[in-house]
Amino acid sequence: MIFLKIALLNLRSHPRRTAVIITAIALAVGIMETVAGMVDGMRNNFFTNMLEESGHIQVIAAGKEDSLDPFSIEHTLDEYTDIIDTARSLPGVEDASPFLTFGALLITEEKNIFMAGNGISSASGFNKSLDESIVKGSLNGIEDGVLISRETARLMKLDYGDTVIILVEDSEGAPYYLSFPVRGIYQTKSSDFDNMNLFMSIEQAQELLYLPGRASTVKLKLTDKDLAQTAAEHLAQAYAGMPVVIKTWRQIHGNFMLLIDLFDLFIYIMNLFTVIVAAAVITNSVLMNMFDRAREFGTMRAVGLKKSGLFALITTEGLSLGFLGSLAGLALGIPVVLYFQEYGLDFGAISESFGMGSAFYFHLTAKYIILNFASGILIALAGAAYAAWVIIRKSVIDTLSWR
Amino acid sequence: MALIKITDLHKQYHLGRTTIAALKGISFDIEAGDFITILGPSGCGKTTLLNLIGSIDDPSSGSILFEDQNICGLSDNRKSEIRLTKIGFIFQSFNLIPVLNVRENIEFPMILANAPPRTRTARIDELVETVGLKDFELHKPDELSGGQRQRVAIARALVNRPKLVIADEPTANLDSVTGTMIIEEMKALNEQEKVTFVFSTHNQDVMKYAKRIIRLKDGAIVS
Repeated sequence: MIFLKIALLNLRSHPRRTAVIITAIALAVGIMETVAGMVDGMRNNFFTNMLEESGHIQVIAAGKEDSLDPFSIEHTLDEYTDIIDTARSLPGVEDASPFLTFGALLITEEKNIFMAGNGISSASGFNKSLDESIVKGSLNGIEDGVLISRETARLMKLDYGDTVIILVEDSEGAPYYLSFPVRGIYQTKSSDFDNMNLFMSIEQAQELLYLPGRASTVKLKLTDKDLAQTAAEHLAQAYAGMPVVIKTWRQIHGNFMLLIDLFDLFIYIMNLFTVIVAAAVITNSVLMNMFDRAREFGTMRAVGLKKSGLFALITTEGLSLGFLGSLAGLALGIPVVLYFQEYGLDFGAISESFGMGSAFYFHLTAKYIILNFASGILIALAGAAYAAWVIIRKSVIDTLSWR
Repeated sequence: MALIKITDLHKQYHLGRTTIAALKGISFDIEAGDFITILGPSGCGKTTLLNLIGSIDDPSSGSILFEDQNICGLSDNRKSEIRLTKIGFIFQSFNLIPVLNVRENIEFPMILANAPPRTRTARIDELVETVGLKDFELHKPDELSGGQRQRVAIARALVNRPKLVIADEPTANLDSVTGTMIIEEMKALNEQEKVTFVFSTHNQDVMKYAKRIIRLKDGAIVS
């Protein structure tokens, strides 16, 4: 207790130096907390939002992925309802829904625009985020009309209830069009997504494309993403020899997983750099402090304090500084993470190009709070331990006669 | 039997290629209850000799037997234990811990010695009373005069009931009146607590208090 008392009293009696060290630790911890919040937000965005959209498993018509045209309807799943039934019978499958994607020309009297058409099922569990992003109308509007984004509506001068023509190349290669009322307007956080997509019921899409009973993909949502491999193997067994490709979320998002790994590496390098800079500042400041007090330490040694005791005394100061600095760092970092968790950090086209929307939404986790708090303490402890090591190597006489 | 037996003590310092002989074959005994003054001009080796006796420095050769145990060449931990339990130090510049108050400064060696809290409180009360700092016991060192600081240092040196107290120029930073008072207090404690005192000075006025005077010149005893 006397060591802690001396440590705390010394911190108070050297306010400027204490402030420098605590600021260095606080900045390091604050930066680490912010970076961790950002990267964890990306990871969280991936596991909640992107998997929500892509599903954990996709059953795709063989050959579709090799097509040069991403909107090609040449390869579609026949009897997809059978696949859905099979999938729903598997353990851990929460939802299985059909999707029919196609290229479409949206035509009004004045303008036309090319878009990705999405035939979806209104009962699908994958529609949650779309449903939440609707600003006018409702999701049920896909049954007899289309959903377009607010940006598309602005560009095409459309509003809820207006009629729009959708022109496609049908399954026989012939141009075909139908008129649809606008039954809903949505706005997501991704302007790229909004500019590109329109939605209608899969039945309407099948009629438009002349593809009765067909879908381009069946997406499966699982109760646990770790069940994906087992479920995919079951499906592969059930449809062995059939013209389908089954992909797990790891295969679907292979590039993004790599990106996450890269960001993990980035966070380690960034944290390492922060730790080195902070540790250098702290070690230097602690050393200066210790040399200023060398005679005091020499006196303590002269009256009987052992080297181990002196080491403990100095590192207790380091621990105290680390504790206070880490608290201050979290006080800096947590509000930043909370702010960007609520409002997002806008990276515009950069994050859009990775399919993550126009902004990164940070994520605050207890794990990183604890880790960064511990890191701050360890940085200070390492700096103090080095200073202590330098001091205890000196003889009692050297420290007593230090000038 | 002598409390301390010093035999043929040499201490050399090396400054580059130059070797400086600070002590040249010092031999003498210190008896329990002695009140010894080491007298001599600056640079004669007084501080070096006290540092060696106090085991905060090692001799180049020779031996120091403290209660028949040679303290030269002991491990650092063992020497720390001896300093903690058997030797008290009083420094010229007081060397108090600036952030601790009078009581805490005196208490510090007792905490290192793992003395129980009740024992510590009783001993500190006794010493604070003895050195006349009852009204200042919660003051920090920078709130005390030089004489008061040196009294704190004396109390700290005595707190673990050492056999020997070493005082290096204890009056050098004090005015003559205060310096004399400090020596008188040391003398009184020497008699009350039966503690052996060895102190250095070049103040001729304090010599009259000494039971023995050892005069040093150029690293050797001259009388």
